[in-house]
Parts: sequence; structure tokens; C-alpha cells
Amino acid sequence: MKKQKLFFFLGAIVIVGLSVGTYGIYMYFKTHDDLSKVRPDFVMTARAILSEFEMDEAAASVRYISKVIEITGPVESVEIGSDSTMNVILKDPGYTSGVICSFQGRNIGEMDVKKGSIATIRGECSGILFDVLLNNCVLIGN
Amino acid sequence: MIKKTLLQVLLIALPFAISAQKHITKNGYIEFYGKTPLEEIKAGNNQVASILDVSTGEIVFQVLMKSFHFERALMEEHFNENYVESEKFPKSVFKGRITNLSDIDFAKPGVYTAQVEGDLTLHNISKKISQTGTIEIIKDGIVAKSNFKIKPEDYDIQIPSVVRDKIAKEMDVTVNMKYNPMTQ
Repeated sequence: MKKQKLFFFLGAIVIVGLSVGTYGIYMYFKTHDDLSKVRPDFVMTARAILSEFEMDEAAASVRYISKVIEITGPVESVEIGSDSTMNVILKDPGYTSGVICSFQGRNIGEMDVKKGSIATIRGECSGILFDVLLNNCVLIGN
Repeated sequence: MIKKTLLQVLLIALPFAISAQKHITKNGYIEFYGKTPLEEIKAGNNQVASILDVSTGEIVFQVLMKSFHFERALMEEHFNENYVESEKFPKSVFKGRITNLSDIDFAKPGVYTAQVEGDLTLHNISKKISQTGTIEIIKDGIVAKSNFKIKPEDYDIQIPSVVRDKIAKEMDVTVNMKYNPMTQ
């Protein structure tokens, strides 16, 4: 009877140890979430988020940085990087700044977003330099 | 009379001539890389903003730390939260100038060596750095590249002793910018 208890106890430790270890390894190698499967925290236009950052950068930073944001706006250009990345720039006509959306590994083709069309892009907000920057982007609609 | 017209033309043309001295990119690329037998760290940022003034040699770079992309999500989280503290110090800035400006002919296509010195501010610590890079004059713009090393400890980036051996003592930084003339 005592032996049985000991086995049960040891078995439980092994199982817990293995699951913690597996979870740890899983977390360690985990890549970024596919944002097309993540519900956005905010849905807004390129113009709206830009004006919030321009009006009060500190408040907008607290509100938006690291959040998943879905932005809709006119495609000004698509910039292919020297590495495997690309940026899609959403900017309203007549504005000097807009939203720069960074795509990793060019998971959309250059043909998918056309200059002058209206695109909806989801990404994580990194803040503002000249433009509001989104990282880890996916194309939602075009 | 001719003099007056000439002066008028000059006055109108001057602002354009001045603005053409400035070149800009908002899609520049900076990567850092460090490797030990235990861990390979690599992160890229393709949203670097930079302005190069070819008349004075002044050059400015700005990056948001949050725009550095790591392949592994947990590594990116640790970088932002524990190492560079992106919430407290969201931007890194380099302000400097090309010191051998006279060696570079911005009107003539070719590859030139550029000596750059200035202040790099990272994690709220500013350090004077002096590096070498190349400036390439191409048909539709200017390409600037550089490769140098920085030590996280120089910028007061604390690395816990448990993982100290896993993280390279020096990071290789690669800079690659493609500037276009500033239109406004």
C-alpha cells in the first residue's frame, strides 16, 4: 500500500515536470502570433491614429503602444527592404505623415496592395517617429 | 534690370536648392546580431528614420526599440521589458556628422568611404562613437551602409548573470539606408 502511494507520487512529479518542461520549450521557441487570428484592440483609420499621436504623443503612446491595431487608409507606397521585409505606407493625400506597416518575410505579395487603393492592415503599434509605426503586420483587406 | 531678374530667380530657386541638400528615408534597416555557442540573437528593424544633409555632412538616425523584430516572441518580449526597457526609453537616436565630407562627391556616382562621428543615445545613455561606413551615390538616391560593434554594458543594459554567458558580449550592428531627396 505504501509502495503504491510512492509510485503514484513519483508518477505525478514526472508528469508535472514533463508538462512544465514541454511548456517551457514551447514558449522558448514560440514565434509571433499570427495577427490575422488575433482580435484587434483598436480599429481605426490611418488619419485618426496619426492625429491622436500628433496631438498628445504621451497619451497616445500609453493607449496604443504594443496593442494590436487594425488600420484602414490609402496605400501611398510599398517599400521593399534590403532584407526579407517590406513596408506598406498608408497616407492620406496632402498629409506629410501616415502609418508605416512592417511585414516580415513578405507574407503578402507586392501585387496584393496597390498604390492608391484602400487597404486594411493589422499590426502591433511601436509608437511614432515621423509616422506611426506598426510591426508584425498582416493584410486584412484591400 | 537683368541683375534684378537674376536675383529674383535666385531668390525663388534658393529654397529648392537648399531642400535638395537634404536626403531622407523612413524605411532604413538596422540589424543587430550576437552569437555564443548557447544562443544566437538577431533582430532587425526596417522602420529606421534618417536624414542626411549632404551640404553639412550632418546625419541623424532615429529608431523605435519596439520596431526591432525577433523571430522568437519571448526573446522580443525580454529585449523590450528587461533589457532596453522600451516603455521607459522608446527611442534610440544617433546624431552626428560625416567628418571627411570633402572626400565625397555627391554629384558623381560611385562608392565613397565615410567617417562618421557623433552621439549614440540608447537606453537613455549617450556615448560618443566614431565609425566608418560607405556612401554610394546612385542614379536615384544615396545608399549608406555601415557595420560596427556595440557593447550592451556601455549603455547600462543589465544582463542577469544567469544568462550572461548565453548573450554575446558585443553585438554586430548592420546599417543599411537608402535615401531619397527631401521634397518639402
